[in-house]
Amino acid sequence: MAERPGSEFMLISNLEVIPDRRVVKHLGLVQGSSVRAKHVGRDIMASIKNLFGGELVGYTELLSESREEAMERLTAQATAVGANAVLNVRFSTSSVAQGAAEIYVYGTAVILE
Amino acid sequence: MIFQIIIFLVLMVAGYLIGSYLERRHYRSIIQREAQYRNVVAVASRQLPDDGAEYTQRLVTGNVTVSVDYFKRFLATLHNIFGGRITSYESLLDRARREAILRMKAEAAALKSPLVLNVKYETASVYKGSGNGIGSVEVLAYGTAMIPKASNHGV
Amino acid sequence: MEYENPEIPEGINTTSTHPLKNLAVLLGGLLVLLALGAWLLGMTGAYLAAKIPYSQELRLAEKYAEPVAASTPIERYLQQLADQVGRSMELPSGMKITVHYVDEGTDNAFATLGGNVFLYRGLLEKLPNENALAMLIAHEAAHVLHRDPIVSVGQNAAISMGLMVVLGDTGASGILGSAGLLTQLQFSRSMENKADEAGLLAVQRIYGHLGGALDLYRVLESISDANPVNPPAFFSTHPVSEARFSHLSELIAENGWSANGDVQALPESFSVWMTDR
Repeated sequence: MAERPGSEFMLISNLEVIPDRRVVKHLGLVQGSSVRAKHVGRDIMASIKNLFGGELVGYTELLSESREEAMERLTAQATAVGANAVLNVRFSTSSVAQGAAEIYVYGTAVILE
Repeated sequence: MIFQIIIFLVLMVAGYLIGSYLERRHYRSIIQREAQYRNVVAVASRQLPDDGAEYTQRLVTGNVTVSVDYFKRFLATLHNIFGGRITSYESLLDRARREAILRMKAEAAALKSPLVLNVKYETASVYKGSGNGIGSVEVLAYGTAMIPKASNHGV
Repeated sequence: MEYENPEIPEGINTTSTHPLKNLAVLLGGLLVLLALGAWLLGMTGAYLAAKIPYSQELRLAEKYAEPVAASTPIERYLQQLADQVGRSMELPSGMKITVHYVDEGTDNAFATLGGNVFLYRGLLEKLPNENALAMLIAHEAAHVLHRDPIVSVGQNAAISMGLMVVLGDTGASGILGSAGLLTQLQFSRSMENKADEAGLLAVQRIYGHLGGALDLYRVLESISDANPVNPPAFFSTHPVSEARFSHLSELIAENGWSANGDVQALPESFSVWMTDR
C-alpha cells in the first residue's frame, strides 16, 4: 500500500476480486520497476557474513528499498491513467547482472466503485 | 597499456553515440506502436469478461532480447561501487518489457482479439558478458487472448 | 466491465539524468576515493612493513636474490668497500650489505630486500674516483639501514591488496609480483634525502672529508643532462634535482665538513676488472 501526496489512497492488492467492490473499468497493465546495485560496503559485509551465516541485513534492506520504489512507480503509473486500485499484483525479482537485482511489480489498473 | 586505453575510449564514445541513437529510435518505434495497438487491452486479471459474449482463447506470447551499449555497461560498473539506482539498466528493462508486450499484442491483434487476460512476464539474463557486466536481457510476455466468437467465421 | 487502454506517461520507470553528467559525477567520485584509499593504504603498508624484523626480510630476499660469494676481483673490491662503508655506518648486527656487480652498460644502481645492492657497470665506469664510488655504495647502504626496500614493498602490496578487494580479483598473479618489481622500487623524496645524509656521514667518517664524494652527484647530473628525453633507468628510482644539491650543501655547511680534500683514486685495474669475467 503506498500513499502519495496529492493522490487518493491507492488500493494495491494481489486479489482478483475485492469483496464488496465492483470493477467499473479496466485500464490495462501498469508496472513499476527498480534496478539497484549494492555498494562496496554492503558487499564486503556480505562476504564476511558468508563466513558465519545468518541474515544478510544489508541485502535485505537493499531489496526492501527496491521493492518500495517499484511499488511507488506502480502507483504513479496507475494514478497517471486514472485508476484508483491495482489488482492482481505480481512481483518478480531477476538478477540482471552480478551485484544488481531488478525488482518489478505489475498488475491491472482498475477503477473500483 | 596505451593501446588498451585507446580501445576503451573508442568503445565508450561509439557506445555512447550509437547506443543512444539506437535507443531513441527504439523508443520512438515503441511509442508509435503503442498508439497503434491502443485497441488491444492487456490485463493481469483472470476474470472473464461478463458482457455475455462468447470467446475462444489462444495463448499469445511476445519476446525480445535487448542489449546495452558499452558506455552504459561501464556506467553500471561504476554504480556497482557506489550503490543506488542503476539508471543505465532502467531504460534497458523498460524497453524490453514494452517491446515484449507490444509483440504479444501484435499477435493478439492478428487473431482479431481485443483483450488479453492473465498477462505474465518472464525475465532472463541471457548473455552475462565478461564476468561482471550485464549482457542482454530476454523478456517474455504471455497471456490468453480472448477472441470473440463472432469473428471466428472462417478462421 | 469496460476495458480501456489509456496511454501511460513516459519517465516513471526510467530516470532522466543525462548519462554524461552521471558518468562525470561517478568517475570523479571514484578517482577521489581511489586516491584517498591508496594514500591511506600506502601509509598503513609502510608502517606495518617497517615492523617486520630484518631476519624475516633476509629470508624473503633469499627467494629472489641468490646469495653468491664474491669471487672475481671486481666483486671482491666492491664487497670490501661495502664492508668498510657498513662499519662506518654502524649497521646493526645481522644486517650486512651484499654487493652484486652487473656487467651491463646501463647506468643503474639500486638497493633491494635483504641488504642486496646491485651496481651496474654503466654507472661505475663513469665514476672518477673511489670517494664517489664509496658515496654511491653508502647511499644504497643507507636505504638498507633505513629499511626503505621493505617499506616500499609493503606500500605497494597494501595498495594492490586494496585494489583487489575493491575491484574484484582481476587475476593479479601474486601480491608481491604485482607490487612492483623489486628492481623498480620507488623511494620517496624524503627517503632519498635521508639516504643522502646517512651516506654523506659514513663517507665523511671513512675519508675525513667529502672531496670526490660529491662527484657522484655531478656524474648523475651530467648523465641526466645527456638524456633529457629518455632518462636511464636509474632516474626513475633516483630523481636528481636542484633541491637535492642544495640539501647536500646545507648539510655539509651545518656539520662543518670539508668539501675538499685529496681524493682516493680507484685501483688501477678497476676498468679491467669490470670487463673481466
